[in-house]
Amino acid sequence: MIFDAEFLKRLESLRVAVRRALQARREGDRSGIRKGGSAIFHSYRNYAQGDDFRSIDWSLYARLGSLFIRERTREEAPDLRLVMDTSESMQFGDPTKSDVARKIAAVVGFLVLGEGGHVRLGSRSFSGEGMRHELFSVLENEAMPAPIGELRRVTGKPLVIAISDFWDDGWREALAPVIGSGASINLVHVLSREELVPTTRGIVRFVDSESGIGVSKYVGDEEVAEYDRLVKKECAGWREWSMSREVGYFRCASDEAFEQIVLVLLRGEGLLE
Amino acid sequence: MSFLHPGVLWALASILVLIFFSLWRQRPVSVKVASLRIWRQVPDRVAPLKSLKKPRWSLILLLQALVVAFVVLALARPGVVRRESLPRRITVVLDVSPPMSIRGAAVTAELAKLDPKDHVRYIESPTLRRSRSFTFADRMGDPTAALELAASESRHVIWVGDRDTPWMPPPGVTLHRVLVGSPVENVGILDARIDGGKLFVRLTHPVPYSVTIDGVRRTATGFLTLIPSTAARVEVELPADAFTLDDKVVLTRHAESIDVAFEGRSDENVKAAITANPRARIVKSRTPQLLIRIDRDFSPSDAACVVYLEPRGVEAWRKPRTVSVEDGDLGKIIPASEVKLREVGDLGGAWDRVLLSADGKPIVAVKGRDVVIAARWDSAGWPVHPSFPIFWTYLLEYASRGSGEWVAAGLRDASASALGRESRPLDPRALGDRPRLDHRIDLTAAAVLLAAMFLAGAWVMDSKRNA
Repeated sequence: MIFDAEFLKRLESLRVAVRRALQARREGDRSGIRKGGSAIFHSYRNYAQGDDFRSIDWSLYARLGSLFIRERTREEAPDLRLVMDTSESMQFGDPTKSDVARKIAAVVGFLVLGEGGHVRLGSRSFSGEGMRHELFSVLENEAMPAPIGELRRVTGKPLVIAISDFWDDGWREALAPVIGSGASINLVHVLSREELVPTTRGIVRFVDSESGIGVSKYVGDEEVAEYDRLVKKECAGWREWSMSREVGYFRCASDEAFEQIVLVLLRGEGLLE
Repeated sequence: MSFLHPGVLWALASILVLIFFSLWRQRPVSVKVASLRIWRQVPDRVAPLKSLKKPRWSLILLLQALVVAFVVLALARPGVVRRESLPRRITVVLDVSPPMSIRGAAVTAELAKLDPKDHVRYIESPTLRRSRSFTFADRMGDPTAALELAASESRHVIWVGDRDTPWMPPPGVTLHRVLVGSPVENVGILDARIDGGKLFVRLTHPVPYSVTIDGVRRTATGFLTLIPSTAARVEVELPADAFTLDDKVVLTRHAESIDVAFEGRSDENVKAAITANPRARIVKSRTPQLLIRIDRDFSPSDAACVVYLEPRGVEAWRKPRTVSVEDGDLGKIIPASEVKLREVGDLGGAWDRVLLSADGKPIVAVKGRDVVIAARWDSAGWPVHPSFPIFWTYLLEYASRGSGEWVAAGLRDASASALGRESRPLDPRALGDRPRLDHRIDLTAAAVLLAAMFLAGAWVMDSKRNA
């Protein structure tokens, strides 16, 4: 059971923290307009340390040489679109990447619903705090639609959180139109510990969990060092790609402390100080 | 090499299983991964790629295979069979009767054919002496006893003599007859005696012979020769031939008086008892008619009769409780109550006659013409009792039996002069092959030890690999 009583308890304390943060922000904002997230452009202001780098207007920087934050107004009811990868490749790790993805989705969905927002998960839609249990039930028990296909169905300018190991080709192609539509996208890159630090040695035949294709290799210390370099290069590639497109990017290992994952994620989203 | 359980060797096929299992373990380990994207980019090293396609040789695998092989060998109980040939046990019965005295060289030549690796024992017949000293007996004898004794000890019995024996071996025993006879002409004296003043001589073949009367020699023929009444010694002698033991006879006549001699410790009481007899004449001759040995060992003598008093070699001198006298010459004149002895000694062995016994054991006994008295007496007891010169009187009579008569020395029985003529050499091949013994040296312990060594080696190498 992914969402046990302990998890729900932690979730509740997070929600309180987020609500306080949001309330403080509202009190400090005269216009009473919540900022950030997927919202309508409001104005420019100077960049201050701690501002979300995704709000930096890079074109303005190119022209003026100074950093400016693009402020947006947020709709009263946030619209969260969850895109989750629960394919075969996500079943690796302990806990599995799929379980971590479901938990992250549950946290964010829970928080949004708690703020009266909407959460869309595949063809399902959830609104209001009262639907959070239904959201949890769907996340825990139902199969998630293929994520790349889901991205093609994103309309409007929701807050999109895509959680995957991003091994499949086509992610970037699928994300491009969503980025272009103005949606706020956050990529959560989840990898298992074995994917980050392989322990297999000797003569190994690696078999792709989804395609069944195999590759035989001799794995020694040199091969593992090269693998480590390539994995870091892969992750760095995603980070650069995300930064260049004002897409949020967060990488974590599936066996990291879950609270840490969520807190960093929420801080990055600006929901927590 | 042989195996007690050869069927177990089929288990060596398990080595193939071991090799197959090792090769199977060398196959690549299949690992499912989320994506091959990164691994595809990892460059392959040339050497490992090649090694993926063919099995790797492994010293550990070799050691493991050797462990299995030697364990299987140990279970099969290996061993080496050595065939040893054992020596044969042979008993040679040597005829040492008088006719064999001229066959010494032939016997030696035949016995030289025996293989020194065999265990050969010798029994002389008819003396039953266990030796090959060729000490010839002075009489003929039946070899049956010696052959029976040999058959009880060996499967191969070799009879060596100058004439065949009718003895048949028991089942399981083989008698090999080795005859060393040859056509040797022999003339011997079968009989010689003087009766009524006439010398009677019987020969195997009538030939002239010499007669020496009191040192005067003359040639005689025929059967009878007159002998003067005063003659005391007559020698009859044949011409020398191959067998000389039957070629001479000496006849002597005993005197009316009895010559008595003493040897050993002096005993005046005994001497007084002897001299009390008028027929006794104490001499210092080496061939008296009666020789009295006091406290001396038994030894041969030329005396007609030897009396041993307190002989040496008698064990356990003791105080007698009861004394008994045999019925006979001495018994009727010596009542047992008159015998006063201080100590007696037990006479072991066999005797022709027992004259006195103490507590059921002989103390005075006769063998041949010798009398042995194993007794010590008090000064007042027998035989110094005044009545006891009678004992010495009868003893003197006993010793001088035949005095005045002619006694012949050197006569052999007729069969001694009939020399064996048959020759049958020894054929060593008739003894057959030596028995063989298969001696198996078990190598199981060696196989186990080797298996343990290889196992230890494999364990050490595996530990180093895993370290």
